[in-house]
Amino acid sequence: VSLGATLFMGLSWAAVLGLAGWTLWRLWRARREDR
Amino acid sequence: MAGNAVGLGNFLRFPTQAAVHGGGSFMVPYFIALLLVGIPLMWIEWGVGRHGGRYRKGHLPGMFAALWRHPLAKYLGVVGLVVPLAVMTYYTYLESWTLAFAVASAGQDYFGATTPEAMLGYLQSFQGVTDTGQHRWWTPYAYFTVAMGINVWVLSRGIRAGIERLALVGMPLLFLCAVVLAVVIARLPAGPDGSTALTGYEFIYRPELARLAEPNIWLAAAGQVFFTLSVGMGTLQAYASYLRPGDDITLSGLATAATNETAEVVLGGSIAIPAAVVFFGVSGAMAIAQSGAFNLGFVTMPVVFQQVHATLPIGHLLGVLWFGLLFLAGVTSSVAMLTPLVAFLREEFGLRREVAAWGLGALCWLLGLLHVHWLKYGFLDEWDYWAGTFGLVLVAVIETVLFMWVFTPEKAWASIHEGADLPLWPVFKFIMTYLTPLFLLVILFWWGKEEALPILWNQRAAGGGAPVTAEAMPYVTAARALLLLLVVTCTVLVRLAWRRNGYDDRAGFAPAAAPEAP
Repeated sequence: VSLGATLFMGLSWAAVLGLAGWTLWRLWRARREDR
Repeated sequence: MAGNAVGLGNFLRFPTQAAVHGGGSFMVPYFIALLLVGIPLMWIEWGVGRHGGRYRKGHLPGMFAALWRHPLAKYLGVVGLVVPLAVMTYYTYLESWTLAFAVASAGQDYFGATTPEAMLGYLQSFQGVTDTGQHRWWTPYAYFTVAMGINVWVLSRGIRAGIERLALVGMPLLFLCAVVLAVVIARLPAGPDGSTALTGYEFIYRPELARLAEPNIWLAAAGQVFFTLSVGMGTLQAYASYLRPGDDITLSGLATAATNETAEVVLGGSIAIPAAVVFFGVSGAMAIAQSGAFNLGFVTMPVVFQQVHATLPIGHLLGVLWFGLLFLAGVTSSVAMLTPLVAFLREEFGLRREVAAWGLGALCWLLGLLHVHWLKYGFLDEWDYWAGTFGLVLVAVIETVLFMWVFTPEKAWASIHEGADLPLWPVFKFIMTYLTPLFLLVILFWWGKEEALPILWNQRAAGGGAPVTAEAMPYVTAARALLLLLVVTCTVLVRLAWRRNGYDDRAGFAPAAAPEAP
């Protein structure tokens, strides 16, 4: 597998998973503070 | 909201679009469109929806009139009634394929068809495109009727009672099933031409920079971002109209987009394409993808389930689970499509929810039968192009201009931030005010020049590059005439609603005391 494809895939997955994890954590924290 | 966004687009449409447009060459414009249009539109649509909800308006004619006190505003919103109604008619039909394949998996009906030709033959026999005697003629009609009935039943029970329960159970299960399948596919032995799942990943993520100059790839990528996030449909706005003034929009909108993208990029990209590349090679995968907008998943996954079954006799059960969960994800999306129309009939004509839902369901069923009957003549492709692709961008352009320019950027930014759990990076104000409408307008004009006009003059079919055949011409004309009839009917209904309720376009609506219970 080429280095370019590996990097592109790694960055894409990291960005998407990181954003989803971070936003869900922030949502959970916001809901807990609301309660 | 994530339940609404995650649907057939992630696991069936995305792999096909990526494969047809060269994998890596598709992913670069895809991410750019997501950043400049997809995520900003998420916030814009939630903002437009909540603002409309203050005046108890759950439909785009009312929401646009609330943003712009001008007689034209309500008519601009007509497209926000036509698009979800039209898309609902064929989306439910596509959804019924997943239901049919879940049942076929249980009965191991397609077992034995392990080549792309055999599996495509099985699919096209079910669709009624070819007559190989594998299915009875009424099979697609029966599944479509059942799928439509389930949708309307869920809708008639209301948003909270219906969709939330479905999404709460179905989404985590679908994610889990997708992870299991991705692992199974990653461990598949090399295929006949030596391709492995890694070959599939390389195909998706190796950008051919020269192809980035092709406009159709940018248009397809933007179209996929619209379809997958359910933006430009009027459905997110309808949901957001039930939000209270202090509810968060920024963080929830971003979380919805991020969850959907995880389902699409990480899971959707790890299932159908790598599997298709292992079994049929890169060129084989591209050929299947070119045979129909949703075909890749239906042709490839049954082969995976048969492969699993050869070592562990649970392959058919995995098929039932996968197609069954896809059906559930489809229902959570399609139920949302009728929500703006139900809101319109309830709010403006005083109809009960059940009456509006069953009445609209009957209309969608009748229109959907035309898709089932005339699939091979390109009737569905025509509606998917004008309503499901062009219509989405049109709605997005209108709402972005009205919210970010007519309503003013300052008021729009403040409105989005009301009750916000996440202050947005100020660069997004610049993006939403200038880059998002610019990107949308460029797409609309580019699209018009490159695709819409040639399709309109029948120089090419909506579903592919070849010109419309003489045999298909009457059906293509009928598809366009019916869409036009829907536009005229909705325009008349909007005019009637405004007259009936005595709305003054220049004075605006009276604020509602509290958002109505969904």
